[in-house]
Amino acid sequence: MTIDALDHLAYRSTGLFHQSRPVTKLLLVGAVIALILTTTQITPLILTLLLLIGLIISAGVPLIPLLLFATYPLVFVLVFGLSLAWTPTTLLIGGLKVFTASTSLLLLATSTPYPQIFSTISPVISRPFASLLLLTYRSLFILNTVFSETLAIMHLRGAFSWQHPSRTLHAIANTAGITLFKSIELSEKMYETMRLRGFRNMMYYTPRAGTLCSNDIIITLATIVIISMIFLF
Amino acid sequence: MGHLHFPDGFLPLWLWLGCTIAVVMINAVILARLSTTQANKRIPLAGVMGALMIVGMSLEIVPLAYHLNLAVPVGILLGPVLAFLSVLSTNIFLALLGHGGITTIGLNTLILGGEALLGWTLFHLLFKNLSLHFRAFTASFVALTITHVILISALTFLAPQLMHHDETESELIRFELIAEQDAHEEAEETEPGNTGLARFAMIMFSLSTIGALLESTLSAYLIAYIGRLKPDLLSRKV
Repeated sequence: MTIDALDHLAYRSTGLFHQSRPVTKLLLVGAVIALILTTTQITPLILTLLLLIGLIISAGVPLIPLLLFATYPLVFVLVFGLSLAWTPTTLLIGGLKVFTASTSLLLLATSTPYPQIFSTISPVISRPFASLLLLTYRSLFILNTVFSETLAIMHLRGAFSWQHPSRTLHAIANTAGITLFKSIELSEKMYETMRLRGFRNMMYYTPRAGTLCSNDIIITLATIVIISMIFLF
Repeated sequence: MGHLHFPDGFLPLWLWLGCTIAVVMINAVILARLSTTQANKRIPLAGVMGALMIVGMSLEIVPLAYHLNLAVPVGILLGPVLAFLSVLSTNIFLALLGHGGITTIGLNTLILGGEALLGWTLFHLLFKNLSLHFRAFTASFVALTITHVILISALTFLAPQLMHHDETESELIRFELIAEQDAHEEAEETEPGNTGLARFAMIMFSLSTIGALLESTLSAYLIAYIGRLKPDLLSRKV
């Protein structure tokens, strides 16, 4: 799952999670993190994971690709745990903590566009930093596009050959350099255009008018269940 | 490996909370002193550098369990102040992708920000008489090695405190770190704690040194390329 795919799912999918307000989703993630920080038992972690899987299915997000993407941090836990000779139980709890946290964050990322997340937290961060977050986000896609095009050109020119490692390293660095220059240029032009159109280092998101809908209520209930597990276990 | 892959729930409270508070304070000071003109001129560049770091950190060199940080080239290009902001935004994004935890954002920012500062200092101040390529390689390798030594030493020291354990009888399943030499029967089959920590430190340092060599080589070529085409990007700025 690439960042493009995550962004596409956040904008294009429709489901329970997508129609909820960002603040309820952020509270859910906060509750999951709080549980992970406080618990030392397997049961609440498994229950939380099952709850998150249920929410992923209701969100209409592809379950298996998302769960596979969430297993990435397990590599380090494995390296760390095996070299320190953790018991199997410790390794299991460590792995569950990692997997649950990354699943909740990926659920947020695939159901909430990043500008909405940053807009929700913008009251507590400064304007230049909010601007930096937005530009970093947009630069990711610029970089991705420019890199793909440059890589294709370099492949066509036969620049990469592991039989010539020095030449290949030069080519990799040149590819990165060209990508960087083009991306900087495009990013600066994009920022100038944004400022011309009235951007003043703030992101605005207009939430849906009216009272909380059923989607928000369901997610809030899930949050309450997770918080109660903190006290029960 | 200047970036900790620790997820939430592993580090002791005093560590991650302390680092988070430190980062918030540093961020506040930087933003208070950053003028609007400076911000408008260099924020796009900082955004691209942040995106570059995100891409680099997403490329895992699997056999080494290592990924590129690119904090040193970013520090050289942006200067340590703007590099710190860029590193913070990168870590926020990565945390939202499940790469590292929300509570480790502060610690990761301090580590990578320190790496960027060290790289900038070595490149612009200490090694300024060397050729560009060698200067970039040395600055990157030394900065990464120093960061790795500090990090691995700190991890080894902290290992017994990772993943707090609860010894109450109401737990369904108990778990203990072998390093604490508990009386559980499984401990009889394992090595004493000190050997485990030493092995951990050795493995991590070996992997990170190889990773640092690769990253420094790439950084050197990248900086040399930028120096040939746009040398003004390498001018010294804080």
